[in-house]
Amino acid sequence: MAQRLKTRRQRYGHLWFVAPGLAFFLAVMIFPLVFAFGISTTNWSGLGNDLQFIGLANYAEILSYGPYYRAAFHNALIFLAIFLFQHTVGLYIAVLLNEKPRFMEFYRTVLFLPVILSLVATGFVWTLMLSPNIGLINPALQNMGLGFLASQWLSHPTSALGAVIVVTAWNSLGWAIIIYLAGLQGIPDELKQAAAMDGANTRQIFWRVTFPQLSPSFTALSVLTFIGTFRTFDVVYVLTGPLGAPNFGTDVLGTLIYRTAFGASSFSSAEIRFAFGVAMALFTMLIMAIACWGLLKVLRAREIET
Amino acid sequence: MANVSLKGLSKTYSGADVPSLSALELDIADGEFLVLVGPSGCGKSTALKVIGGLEEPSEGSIWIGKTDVTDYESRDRDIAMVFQSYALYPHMTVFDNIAFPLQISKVDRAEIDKRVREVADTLHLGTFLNQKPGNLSGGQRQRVAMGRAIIRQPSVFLMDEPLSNLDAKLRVRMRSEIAQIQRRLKVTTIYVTHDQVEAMTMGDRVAIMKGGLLQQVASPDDIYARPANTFVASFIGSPPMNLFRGHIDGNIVRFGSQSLPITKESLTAYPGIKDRNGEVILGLRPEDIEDARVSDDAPEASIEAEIVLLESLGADHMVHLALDAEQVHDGDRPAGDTDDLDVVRTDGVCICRFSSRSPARVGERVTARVSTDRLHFFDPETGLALR
Amino acid sequence: MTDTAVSPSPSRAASLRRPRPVRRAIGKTLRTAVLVIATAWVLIPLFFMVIASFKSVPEFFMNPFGLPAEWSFSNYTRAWEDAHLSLTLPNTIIVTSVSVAVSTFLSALVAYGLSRKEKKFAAGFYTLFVSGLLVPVHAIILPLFILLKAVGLFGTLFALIVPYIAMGLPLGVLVLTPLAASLPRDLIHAARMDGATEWQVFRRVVFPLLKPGLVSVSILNGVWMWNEFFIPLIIAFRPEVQTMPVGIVSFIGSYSTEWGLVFASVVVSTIPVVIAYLLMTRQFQSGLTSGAMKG
Repeated sequence: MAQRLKTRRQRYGHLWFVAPGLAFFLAVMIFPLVFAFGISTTNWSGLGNDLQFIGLANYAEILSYGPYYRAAFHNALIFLAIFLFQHTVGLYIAVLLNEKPRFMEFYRTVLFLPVILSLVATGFVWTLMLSPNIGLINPALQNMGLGFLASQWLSHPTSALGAVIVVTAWNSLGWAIIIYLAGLQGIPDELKQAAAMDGANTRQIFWRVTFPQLSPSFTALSVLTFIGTFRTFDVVYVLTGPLGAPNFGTDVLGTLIYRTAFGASSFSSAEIRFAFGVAMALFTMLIMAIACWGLLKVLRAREIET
Repeated sequence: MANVSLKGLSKTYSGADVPSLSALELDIADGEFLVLVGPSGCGKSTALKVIGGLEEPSEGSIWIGKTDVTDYESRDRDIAMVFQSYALYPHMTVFDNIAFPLQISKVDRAEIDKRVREVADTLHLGTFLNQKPGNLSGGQRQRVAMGRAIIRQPSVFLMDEPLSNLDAKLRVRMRSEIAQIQRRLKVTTIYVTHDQVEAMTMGDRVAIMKGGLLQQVASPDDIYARPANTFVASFIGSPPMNLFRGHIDGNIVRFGSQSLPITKESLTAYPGIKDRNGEVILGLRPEDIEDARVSDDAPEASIEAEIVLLESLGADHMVHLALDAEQVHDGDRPAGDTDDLDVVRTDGVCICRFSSRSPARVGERVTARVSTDRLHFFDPETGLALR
Repeated sequence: MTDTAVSPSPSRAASLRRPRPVRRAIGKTLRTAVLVIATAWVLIPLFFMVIASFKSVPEFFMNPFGLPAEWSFSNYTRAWEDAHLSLTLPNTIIVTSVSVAVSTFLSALVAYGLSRKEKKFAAGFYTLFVSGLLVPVHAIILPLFILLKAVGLFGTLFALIVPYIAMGLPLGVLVLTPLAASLPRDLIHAARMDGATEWQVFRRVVFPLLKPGLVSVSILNGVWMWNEFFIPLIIAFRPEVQTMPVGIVSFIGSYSTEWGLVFASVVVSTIPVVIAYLLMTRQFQSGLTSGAMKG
């Protein structure tokens, strides 16, 4: 019998180490999540006591809710642009830095700097740069004789979304560089030397030897970019406000959910639909979880092949 | 100081269908140095982990002195262990590594300091006390691990292949150092190794294991001279004992076209062969066969065969003789297994250790003298010695 | 070598030579140019932000991008008082350091508890913690708000600290559990043999050996906690309990044309992280990368 007792203690003894963390986690993450799901099955506005259970009606509504698709489309555009940017410019700069040029430490330190800046700071800096009257961009374009390109950057839907992308790219380039650089530094030189011996030229060495070896970096960066761009909120909030101005041209899921659940200054409180906002947040979480899982599955399979 | 008794100790890991350890019965006397030896996967390390309390036995009990410690946590068993990897705490200095067991049990500082310095002196570690293990050589790390075990003055030492990560020369030196330390401290020691040389040179007694089963426990000399079965016979000794399927015919044992007389000594050592006419397994140690040309005595018994391979080791030659007898190989067969022994090849090879004075050459036919007082006989069915 | 081995034909021999020095020099210049342009793209906005923070309002509008004629610290003194940095800077420091310390320590405990794969519960709890990375803050923020109010933490710094601790756990567990699992089993066994209790094994052996991971986790979580905007936007209403990013944004509403003031605030909110980053560039980069690669 004593033996039984000891067996049990050994098997579950380590639960004591998990308990404090688990308590915080359950209280702050899981309990509110369940609570939130409960709310999402009602029509609660977020204010007052007027609420009714409406089942999954909120979720059904999302499927035919135009603004949701519009916002998701903007997220997708941002993702695509950042994805391309990081796997081209980011990769290229990482390759350049991996050749250990002079001032390599300086370049690397500076290029990574935006990653640690708050998106609020990033947003303000770029609001100044893009500002039509006092901004740096327009005067610079005029000085270069490209004045016709000068624009009210944040006032046109297309250029405003472009601005969001540029700022996001500025903020996340460091990730691409550092992740690819870590991957590049992990490739044994012998591999490249062997390929060179086999008669491969620089370009062939890169595409046939180096790049396949970078697939874990590619996977990590892609997933990171996916999560980051579909969660984007701060940059848009600071650059174009919670309405995704102009005319919802930069409205993303983050701002749409925020506005629906908590309201924005120009919204009347009647338009706040907290329960619906929560439903959108949970629905988005589900879709993202599935997409992440799929993305990882596809990318990891590719890693094994190469 | 205490004796250790293992009573019917078994361990089957969850998910495994065969036990790693089956009904191990062992009594280790107070102060004894017992070596557990066997091929990898034989259960020796499992036995050590169970004794140390790092694994739970599925059945059986462990007694240290007069206490049943089966349900005790490792820390309450009053044992110390030296690990194959040394398991030195990389973030602590040598001093703290050695002092760790005492710090844990809240011994006062002055006492700790005194005892660490004593231990460091015995192990010649005095000048390394402030270094981290990462800066030490393999031999020094090994000593630190010993120091950490010694300092607690435990009743039992467990050592899990402590020398296997050292280079060959250092291993020989540490072998005698550990044996000396153990003899001085007189702490009951269970030492696990796969190296038969360590087993033979260090142990008061040697326990040979295979497939979770104990094969034989005896003094090194006994193990060598009187192996309990074909497994022990071929595991101990290098090169291993030659085993051939043979046939007893009156007072002669025939194998292939060779035959050797059965002497009084054989009958005394293996009474089981008395009046036994029929199949046996005959064992010949390479060192009991010598080139007849360099043997001073007149050949009392000999075999004649062609040399197919000759390896010179300087002091002696390993000579491979081609025999037409069925050779038996017992690498992986647990005792008591009644399947037929594997017949590796019918044109067997007999390995002999000729002295370097022998003019033997590959390709020639030689007459080799066999010391017939040291033949070994085993049951062809069970592999057990015919005692 | 076989006969099929390539032997360069005379016409190809020229192209097989290494590129000529001139071409190599051009290539090198181009590559340096790419690096310089990228670096400028990162630095110029930051540079102008710092410059702008030293300018008075009229000077900013007359000459937004030149060096200030007169370096004025009035923006900073005003930011300190009017933008409540005197309140929000200490708040940010307290919230971040307490949350990082507690969260990292709890992560290490959880990681050790879950590091033994043979434990049946380990894999399930690990997945549970790590999937916390996907939980949308937007969805849980209001229930959290209600909860914090119910237990009386609302209106104190704990209203931020408690959620931050919990939200730091998924990353902490993600990074530290594999690290704890990769510690040599023998070390833990040795400590148990040496008489250590499980707590002593953790405290004396496991925790110190997790140090590289602890640094990574602290940096990863510290950076987002310092910069977090959304959670305090909802939960912290008054400057007395706000952190800097929210403090600055809510202050902007009324002073939106005073760029110098805004940028002075942003500079103050950014300087501590930048200094930490410059002091520990390596740890920041490798710490953040290791977290990202695992995620």
